[in-house]
Amino acid sequence: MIPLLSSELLRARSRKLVKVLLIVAVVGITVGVVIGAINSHKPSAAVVARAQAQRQADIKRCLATPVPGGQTSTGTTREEGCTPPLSAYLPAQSFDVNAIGDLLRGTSVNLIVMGWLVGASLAGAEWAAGTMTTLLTWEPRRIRVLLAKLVAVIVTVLLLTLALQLFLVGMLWLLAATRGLNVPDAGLWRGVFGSMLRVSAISAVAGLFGMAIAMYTRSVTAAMASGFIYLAVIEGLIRGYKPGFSRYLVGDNAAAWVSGHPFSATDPSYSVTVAHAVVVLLIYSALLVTAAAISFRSRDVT
Amino acid sequence: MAVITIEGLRKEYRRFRRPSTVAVDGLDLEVPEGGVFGFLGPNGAGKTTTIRCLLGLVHPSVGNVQLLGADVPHALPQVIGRVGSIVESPALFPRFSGRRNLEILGRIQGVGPVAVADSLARVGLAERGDDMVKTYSLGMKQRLGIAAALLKDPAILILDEPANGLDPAGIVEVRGLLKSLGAEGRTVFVSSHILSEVEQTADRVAILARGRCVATGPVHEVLASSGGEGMVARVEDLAAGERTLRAAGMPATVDADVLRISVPASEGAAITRTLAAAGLYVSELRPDEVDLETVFLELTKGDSGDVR
Repeated sequence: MIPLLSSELLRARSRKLVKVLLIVAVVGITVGVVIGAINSHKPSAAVVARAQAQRQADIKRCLATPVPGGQTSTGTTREEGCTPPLSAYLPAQSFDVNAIGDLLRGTSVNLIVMGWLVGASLAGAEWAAGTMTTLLTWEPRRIRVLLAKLVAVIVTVLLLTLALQLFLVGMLWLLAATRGLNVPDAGLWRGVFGSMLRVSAISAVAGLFGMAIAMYTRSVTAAMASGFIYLAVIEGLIRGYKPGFSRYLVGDNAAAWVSGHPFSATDPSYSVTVAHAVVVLLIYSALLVTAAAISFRSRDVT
Repeated sequence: MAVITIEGLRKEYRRFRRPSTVAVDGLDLEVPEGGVFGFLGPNGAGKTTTIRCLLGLVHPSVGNVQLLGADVPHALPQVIGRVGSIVESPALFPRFSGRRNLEILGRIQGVGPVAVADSLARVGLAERGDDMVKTYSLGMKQRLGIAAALLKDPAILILDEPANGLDPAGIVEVRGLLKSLGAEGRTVFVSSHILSEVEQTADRVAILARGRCVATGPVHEVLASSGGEGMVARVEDLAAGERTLRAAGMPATVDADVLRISVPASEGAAITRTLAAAGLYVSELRPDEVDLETVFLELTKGDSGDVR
């Protein structure tokens, strides 16, 4: 199994798509941060001190106001709801280091799509190039081949997304330190790294979705198109006509997973917890991978 | 010892709302160890499907297949490390270099970069090994496929149309390579419809038509079984020659501008003597040999391709 996995990882590392995605993302992040640097200005110490004082007063007043239930409608805690970012008290041109967490979560959709694409490509390209035939003449145990691909997808997507997020966080920190406001709130970095891990993990799950569908349909295009149609059309229809089913939709569960907080898009009577999201999405990926394994094992490779 | 044993192999492809297709229909075949074995048949006769069944890529509808004594597909993993193969055209990643393609495959069986370099050198691709496969000519891709098949140092090579798309020089090169591999004690099982190639390289052949084996054995036996024994003579007066030979007890018939005489080649002197005694002088006398192409066309007559 180890030699097969090593071969799959070498194959994944050699894929042009992975390199292109990495380069495009790095260029995109760099360009974005450069634009941010041009538009951001470092505030003076006096302005920062005034803003901090104002913010502390507001937090104190907010926490003193009683709210039934102790939780906000968005699922965040009372303390979180009463803690506005320092940048809200500063001139808009200053990039705040505390915005990194929100920016990370904002870019998560791109990384999830990237994960799906990498998963679909690592499996689908074998069928497109006909190399699955060659591979199976070296390792005829198909379930082993599938498992090696599965691990290769997880490892590749995790490494790729973690590397990109680290690069993004590093660049944003540099921006805040040189051209913005670098006064991190307590727990900022813990939150940021928690977000990074959650986004990478869900991107890997998306990679499994893409890989499983590509193994089943034997096509990258079909894997990408089915993902798009499901998320953009079918989930939209279900959310509209059967809002009660929203708690089982990939989109809602993914949103809860990424945010790290209970999430509800349409039905305020319930919210999807992070644990629920993890269980639901892992069950979905297990079902898809199982279907792909059954199909791969039983169908002819012609 | 047989390295390939196929018993009653049948493969039927079921198709949605269309009649099913029988690609192989009760094929029995034994391939002995060592040498080059030619697997012949017109397009659609079932050669590639048989090879796919041998390699566990396609599940037979009925029948048993053994490769190096192992039942396919269940015991195939035990012997796959000694089997090199190309199925149809070599399928490799076009945007990877030839070397990288071989490295990826080699890792599966623990084959290192030295063996990769040796394999590339053996097929004459040492200098182009680091170029992307998409820049290779068809012949180079074919040779890279053979290099991949050789990477495992296989006991048996299963090659599906290895000379496909090669120019004459490439064909000669592959012919030499197959012969040398066979001479090394490996078994080379090569499917082809280029009969002249097989005739020059194979020790034994099997001819497939409509999914069944219609002839198998050493090349000379297959040729002989198709009426290849006898002599051909040319004289000026064919009718007189026929009468004279028949009168001497040698069955002869006129065929176009020659006489075909059903006697062994050892009777050549007797033919000359008999005809000369009758004043008929022989301008040509030779054994009545048929080539593989004639046998092939005779045996596969009416086989237009797909079985049914």
